[in-house]
Amino acid sequence: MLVAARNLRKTFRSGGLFRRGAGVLALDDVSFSLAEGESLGVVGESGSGKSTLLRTILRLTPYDAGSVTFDGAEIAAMDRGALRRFRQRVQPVFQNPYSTFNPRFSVGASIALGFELLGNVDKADIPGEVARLLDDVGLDPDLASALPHQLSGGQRQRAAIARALAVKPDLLLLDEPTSALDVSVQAQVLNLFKDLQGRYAFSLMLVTHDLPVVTFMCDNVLVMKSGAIVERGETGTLVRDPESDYTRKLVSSAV
Amino acid sequence: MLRRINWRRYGLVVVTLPVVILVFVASAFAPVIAPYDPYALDVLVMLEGPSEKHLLGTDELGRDILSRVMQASRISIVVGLVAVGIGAFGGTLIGLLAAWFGGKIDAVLMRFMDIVFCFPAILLAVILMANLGTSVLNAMLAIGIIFIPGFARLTRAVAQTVQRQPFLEAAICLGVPGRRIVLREILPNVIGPVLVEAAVAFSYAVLLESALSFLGLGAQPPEPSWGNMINTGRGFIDQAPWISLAPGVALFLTVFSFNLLGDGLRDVLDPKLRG
Repeated sequence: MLVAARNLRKTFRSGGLFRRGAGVLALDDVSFSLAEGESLGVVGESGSGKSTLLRTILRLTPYDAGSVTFDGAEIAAMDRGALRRFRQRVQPVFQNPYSTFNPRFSVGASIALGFELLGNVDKADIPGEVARLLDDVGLDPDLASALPHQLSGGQRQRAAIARALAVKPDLLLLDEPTSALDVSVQAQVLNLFKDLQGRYAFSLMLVTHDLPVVTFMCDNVLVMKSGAIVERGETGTLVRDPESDYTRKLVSSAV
Repeated sequence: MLRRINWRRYGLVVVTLPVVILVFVASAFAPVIAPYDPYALDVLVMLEGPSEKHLLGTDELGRDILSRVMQASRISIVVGLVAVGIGAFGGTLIGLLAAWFGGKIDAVLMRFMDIVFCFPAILLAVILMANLGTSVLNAMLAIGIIFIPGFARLTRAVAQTVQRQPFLEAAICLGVPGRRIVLREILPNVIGPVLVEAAVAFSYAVLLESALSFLGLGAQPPEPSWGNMINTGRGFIDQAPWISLAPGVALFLTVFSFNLLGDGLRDVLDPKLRG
């Protein structure tokens, strides 16, 4: 198993030094696993804890109880070196393409950062590698010198994918990767993911409220509601024959 | 030319910058352009009103007030710069650390800032000088320390907003080292607001230094400072009001223009007034 989560629990608390506020249960006893090469979808309404789950696996949000292992190693217990290797093997693509790049750096500089950190490419060869990556995601390599605000939303999302691929990750985590894009651009970006998955061979975990995106992209799917997994299974079966009322509602609202 | 200026955005800066530059030039070149030696006594012209020879009159020892006001501006500027430097550097550092580490470190640092924030600058200065002796250096130190919490709170708030941006989380996920994230991605976004705060803090520092000198806790006579000049003039307020009035007006103009400069910088940096 590439990723295995067991009995994950996370409560968001308000409060400060002396006060413990009431909490919101974002992850309630969540267990799942993701095999190498698998594409796993996570669907649910907003507030269902699906984004928290993704951020937990990215090690951006710490969890309260349970465990998450990546390639057999507990991510909360990694030392510096292990964490650095983990960072390069797991990459996110976020929802909002408008703030996914630092407005002060050129797109090319942001993408080059991955090569610099990995150190597997000669400094002189980095611009060439960046150009090749941009070409791979269907962008004009000349855009490397552009600032983020000069790109359209769809172009920026493609550039964000290029940045994630620079470190040749084993796992790509997508948080609503198309919901901020125009409908016409959405399909292009999803097709790009499928195409790149064939070439770069990464596993994929996709979080969305949009069931059709999951049916297009994913082998298996988890359905989340108020922090808990209410249903799971092979995508085709689950859509054809949903068990819980909640999933049925998601399916019917998607049609 | 003037028509092309975006007055809503640059107006305040355009109007206040000349006064600010005047203050800096007058203090930087005071020894060269001052009409008299600010320390030279002349018993023949004691307590004389403004005249052609002494534009702002003379004090109880016959020293030229204009020259002394110019000389005194040097202390005000140096105290302002050093105090704001201490406050901005310390506050930005603490604010960045609090925002970056969060949790317990954040709570402890910011509660400590709350404590410092409660101290009146004058009280802190008195405590410092009781232990270290009265000097301009200690006045700068006291004022600088008082400024740290303001800068820390501002920096922390801005840094926290930046840290929630996806581009920052993308950098974390790429494994960019923490120090590099703070210095290259967060700090550049913090500098603008800190600059605005610095201009306002500068005017406050000048005012505080004058208050300390007025109380005899800053510059020591015969070294002129606007504060101790005003204090000296108090004894002659009926016969020679210009002794207090001249440094008072200088103080007012400096504080006022730096305050407005701060507002002006805020307008310049405000994206809503762009274009």
